[in-house]
Amino acid sequence: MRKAQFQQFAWIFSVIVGALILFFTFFFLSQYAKQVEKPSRQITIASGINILVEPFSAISNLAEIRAEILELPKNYVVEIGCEKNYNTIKAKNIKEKYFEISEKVYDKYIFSKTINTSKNNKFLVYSMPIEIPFHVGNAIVIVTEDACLKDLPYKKNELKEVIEELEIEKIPKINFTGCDDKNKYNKGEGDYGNLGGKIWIRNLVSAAVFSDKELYNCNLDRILDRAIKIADILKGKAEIASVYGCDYGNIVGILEEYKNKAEKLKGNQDLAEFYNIIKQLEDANRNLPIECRLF
Amino acid sequence: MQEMIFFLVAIVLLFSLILLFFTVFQSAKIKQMATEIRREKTIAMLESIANMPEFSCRQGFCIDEQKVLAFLDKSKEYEDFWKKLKIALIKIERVYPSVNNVDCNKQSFPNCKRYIVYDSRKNYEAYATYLPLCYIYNEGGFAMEKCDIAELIVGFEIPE
Repeated sequence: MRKAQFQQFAWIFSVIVGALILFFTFFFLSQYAKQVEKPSRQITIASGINILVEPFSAISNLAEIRAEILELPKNYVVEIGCEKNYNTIKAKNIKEKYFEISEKVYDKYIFSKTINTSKNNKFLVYSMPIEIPFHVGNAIVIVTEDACLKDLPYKKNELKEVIEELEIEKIPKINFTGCDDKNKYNKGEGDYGNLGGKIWIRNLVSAAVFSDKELYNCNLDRILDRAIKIADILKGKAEIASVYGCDYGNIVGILEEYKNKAEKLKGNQDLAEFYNIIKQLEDANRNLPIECRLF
Repeated sequence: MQEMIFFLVAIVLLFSLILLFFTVFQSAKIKQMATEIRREKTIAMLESIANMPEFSCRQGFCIDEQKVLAFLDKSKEYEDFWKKLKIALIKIERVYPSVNNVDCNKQSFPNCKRYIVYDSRKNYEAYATYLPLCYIYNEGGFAMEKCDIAELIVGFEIPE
């Protein structure tokens, strides 16, 4: 009798312990899968925005026009923001409430409207050197919708050439030749029309077309901040090099005025005076002997 | 009964060991990948730093020494920028011709060895590239452009 009871207990015990082992195995495996799944989703989106986030990535730093394809996971929303010293890139799945990824980018000036990848997950992204009149950095522009840049006033052909080399189908396109009714740029409609005088900084015209007013103005202030620092460095260089036989005439004074005008331009829309000083600086530099030129 | 208990304990131990081994193997692999990615990124960044408008020459891939000299006065303004990019050291060393082993400043230029553009005094992993270091100098009363050979050394913070 006791032996039979003991055998029955042994069976029940082994079934309970077996069930517990199975339960814990599945529990830990499911926990592990959840842990792995979230970072892997983040890695996928992060690798997509890598060319924007990576410090000093080639697309942003060389003083030439470059274009690449930005490929993001499907069903994502990516928002580009701007603070005093950096751009922010936030990304989340369309179904999610909160942003899974939030990155700060310090060395780039990114211009884009909100990216939604539910219909299309590939976008053209190009960089264009900002020269006012010296090189300050590169504008990174993400083309999120079709647009026409027939009358682009600066480096239109170079941009066209670089973009045409990519030959990617089914992405928002830039039309460089003819414009239809949807065109925002040539008609002065949409966000472009609201930007006011500030957009007319040379190659930032196309950046204005593809970003909203707030982002554009904030990035422009960041660019002006850096231009002021570089103007200071150029002024310092002129002072040092003048000892070695270069006559810089009034260029140091122009650079000082440039800094004042750039500072004044931040936060207001009046570009006329700033244009004059850009032109003056450009001419003064061009008139220097080649070996003495500052930029 | 005892046999059964020993058997079950042994199974649990076996699975635990397998799991432990797998975790250690995975984390070692991830660390190795992270190191490789950091190294590749760093090498790519060297060229970009040399191309920054604050340092670069008017044309070509070279550093403008007189811009660097002027930059030294403004280097405090960039400290936060380097910090955010996890850069711990930026140094430019003149390699050729051989010169006095002294730090460069307006007084010692151009017969000086190195520019310490930034030094956070943190632990770093450094990478270097060779490039021309160009400056305007005076020969026979005329301004001329001259280029030496320099090494750009960039140290990146080692993640803890």
